Amino acid sequence: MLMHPGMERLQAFSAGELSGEPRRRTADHLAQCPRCRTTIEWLDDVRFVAREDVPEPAADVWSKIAARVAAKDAVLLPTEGVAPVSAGRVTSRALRVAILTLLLGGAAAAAIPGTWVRDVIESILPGKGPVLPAPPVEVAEQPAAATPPVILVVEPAAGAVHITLERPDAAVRIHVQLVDASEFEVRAQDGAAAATFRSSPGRLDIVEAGSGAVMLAVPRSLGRVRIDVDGRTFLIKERGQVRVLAPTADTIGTEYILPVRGAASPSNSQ
Amino acid sequence: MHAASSDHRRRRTSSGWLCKDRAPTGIGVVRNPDETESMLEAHALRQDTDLVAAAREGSIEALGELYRRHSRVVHATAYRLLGTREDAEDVLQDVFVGLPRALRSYHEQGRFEAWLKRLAARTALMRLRSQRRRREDVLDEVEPQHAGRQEHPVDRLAARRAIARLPENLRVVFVLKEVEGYSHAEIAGLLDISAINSATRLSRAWTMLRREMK
Repeated sequence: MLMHPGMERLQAFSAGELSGEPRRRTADHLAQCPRCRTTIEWLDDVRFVAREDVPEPAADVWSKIAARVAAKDAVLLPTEGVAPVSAGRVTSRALRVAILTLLLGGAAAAAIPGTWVRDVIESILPGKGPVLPAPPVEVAEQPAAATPPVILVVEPAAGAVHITLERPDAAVRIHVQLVDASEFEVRAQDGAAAATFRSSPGRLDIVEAGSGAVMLAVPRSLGRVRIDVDGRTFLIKERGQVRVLAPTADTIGTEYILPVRGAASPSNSQ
Repeated sequence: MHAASSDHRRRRTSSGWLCKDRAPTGIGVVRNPDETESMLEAHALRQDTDLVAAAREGSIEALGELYRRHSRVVHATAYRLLGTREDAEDVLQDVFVGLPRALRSYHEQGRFEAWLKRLAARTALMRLRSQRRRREDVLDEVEPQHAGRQEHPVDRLAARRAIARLPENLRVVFVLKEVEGYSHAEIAGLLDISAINSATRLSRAWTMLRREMK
């Protein structure tokens, strides 16, 4: 009997949050289970809907803001903890536990003559002995520098942006993602970063992008976007509608992965 | 639409190809990064960092430019959390009225827009906590025309209604995680809950949505 992953597992898989063995097992299951594949598609589609455009603010909001600022309206915003949370942040409780462990361990070790902890403690206390020399620093051999990625911002002309790829490598993949941002951003990495980039108002031509990825972050608010590859239109966005015209496109939520040529396998790149 | 270039995002490839639209007439083929740099200096645009510094000092013009660049994002975050245009616009106003003072806490760590989105999320959450809210059905305000997945289109209206009907504690986590892209650790910090609690609420939200949309 086929055991199905729970909703939490499928949800994590579709969000690209699984890795290693759990991801492999889930992917293997999905390859055999149409029911769970349908669930994954449903999760992606609901996310897509949830991220769709929202109503724009009224046109007179800024004038109200300016009037309140002029009237010295005082608003205290909750800035506490607004700084980004790093992955390595240690909670205060964990830090206290760590310090306590270190102190207890150090105290135990310090009782034993000849231990390094005792040596350090003796070096700190006045008149107790020499300071330990710093350990030698090993410098790892630096790997050869990879081609750095190219990151560009394209300014629209008349609310439109036109991206063309000319003579791209068959292995390059175009990622188009709708974002809540104010800039149209193009990132090219790996072999694609070695392309020639030509710009003109509202247009970017990427010539001879090698294998790799070209990632296009499309602001939802941008009126018109068109992506052509070797003269063939792959994707058009006009107002709220996106039309994917490439035959082997895959979609994950608001991200469209467009292989340039051939039936490249879909990838969960979220 | 306008472009805001940021120094920290300019990059060069090993072959030296780099281009950036900075002037109305464009800059054509760029082969020499040094040439590009001089063009960028000649056509310098105000950066967010410059505007932030000026707004912090009380410049209404700088604040207005920041509003022009980022109001949509702030409004969208607030709208998705609060569910009504009226509440979202109130938060939008509060964020920008209070921004000059709040910028004292911004130390150029990370992207400004990301910091501003967090501020908007916290302000919206504060509003949620402080008042009883009547959820309006504003599903008719936006008529998105995108069909989503072409092969298996989900019933868009049913999905939006189901999301709007989620209990508030589940809907907030759902929006923060699935729409705004926060991690469970970050949501835990925003809502003063544990990361495990955040994950549990998200799981319950999805389960309810599945049941509601069957």
